[in-house]
Amino acid sequence: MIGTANGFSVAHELVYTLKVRDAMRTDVITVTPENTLREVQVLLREHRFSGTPVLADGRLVGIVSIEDIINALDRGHISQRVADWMTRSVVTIQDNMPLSRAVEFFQRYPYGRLPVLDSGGRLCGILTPSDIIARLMVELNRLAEDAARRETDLMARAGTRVTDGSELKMDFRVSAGDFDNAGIASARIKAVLKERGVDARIVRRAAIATYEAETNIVIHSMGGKIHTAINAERVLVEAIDWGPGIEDVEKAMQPGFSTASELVRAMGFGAGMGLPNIQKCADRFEIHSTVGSGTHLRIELDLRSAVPQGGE
Amino acid sequence: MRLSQLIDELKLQVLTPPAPEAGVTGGYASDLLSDVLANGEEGNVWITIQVHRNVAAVASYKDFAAVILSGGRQPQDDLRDVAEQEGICLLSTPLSTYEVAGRLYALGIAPA
Ligand SMILES: Nc1ncnc2c1ncn2[C@@H]1O[C@H](COP(=O)(O)OP(=O)(O)OP(=O)(O)O)[C@@H](O)[C@H]1O
Ligand SMILES: [Mg+2]
Repeated sequence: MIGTANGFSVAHELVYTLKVRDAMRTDVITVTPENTLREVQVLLREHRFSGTPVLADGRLVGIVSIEDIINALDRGHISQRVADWMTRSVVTIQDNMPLSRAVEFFQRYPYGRLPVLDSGGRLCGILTPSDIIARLMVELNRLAEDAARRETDLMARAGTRVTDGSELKMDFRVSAGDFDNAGIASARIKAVLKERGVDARIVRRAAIATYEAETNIVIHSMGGKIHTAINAERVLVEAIDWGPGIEDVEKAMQPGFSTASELVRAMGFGAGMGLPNIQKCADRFEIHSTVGSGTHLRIELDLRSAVPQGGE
Repeated sequence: MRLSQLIDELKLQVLTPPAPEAGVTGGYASDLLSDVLANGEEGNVWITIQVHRNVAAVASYKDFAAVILSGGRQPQDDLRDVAEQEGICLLSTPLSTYEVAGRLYALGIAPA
């Protein structure tokens, strides 16, 4: 199942790099050949296992599965010894094998569990398909978090990047549905402009336009980013998202038009005034949207227009 | 009018403190954030029943003197935290939005 998922290359790679011992469970419950099948039945029911290895003097000598128990109940030998009914030809796997081997095994055989042996041939764990999946999920999560952290680091570094011509560039990721972090880009822009002594009215307009663009990405899109570039002349804010795009941009620009859900409206969004606000705040404004690929706003404000800065 | 005077007159509950010398230029009452962003004015008190953290963002971008949560509403925890950090004066009252606006008018606080 995992191995044949074409295109799911990250998981595919993982099953080759991870070892059986990375995914196996070590809290193995075992029985001896002297136990009765009845005892095994109780054990399996208690622990909700579908089978258990049989050990004699620390050596794996067989396995009893839930099917063996059902057969025993059916045929009336449930009170007999494990030794007489266990499966003796047990397929095992070494703990240092890549997980891909185990995946192959589960694809080839009808067994639901695989006893794991260490290099000395002793039982050291047990592996089921769900153990593999659980381990892959953990690993995929970790990879995703790493990637997100790297991106955040990059963006944080970009936040202090001053390019030639003394332009400050900042990038912010905006996640769909993340109302708590809507406003991070606009707050930063406000802080930077204020620190540069930009006229308070221009600061306000820039912050509002950015905030409206951010909340639109949060509410209406599948996620996107805010890219800003500030120099002595102007502030440029680009809001780029990855879809779904706007069907009728002209309509979306009309004050009062909104497709916001009831839930979002209850929070006070959805007046249908965001895009008109952006247009009103901006000195130059462009909106491009393609259904299926996304929306791109280009918002520009002159920093010297309203009140000439001191020293001019 | 001084914000502190207004707080006394309306017996508002102070959730985060006002700036010492803050004055009030007028008021705006709305629960639609974009509407407030479009039509509120600097130095206004904003009357609303919204209590989530985006209220702080709106208040900060508009440089409002204060936000009055009407109808006895209390802020969600993170709103209070953000307001505190951003130095936004957050107030609460059992009065309805309508009553608060009426009282402000009676005190001579009309839109600029
Ligand atoms: N980034 C976007 N992706 C997809 N659709 C969008 C996007 N931005 C806006 N829209 C569409 O345009 C409509 C109008 O947007 P606008 O910002 O003016 O109002 P709103 O977000 O619905 O409400 P408000 O901004 O007043 O809270 C939205 O309801 C939505 O249908
Ligand atoms: Mg909007």
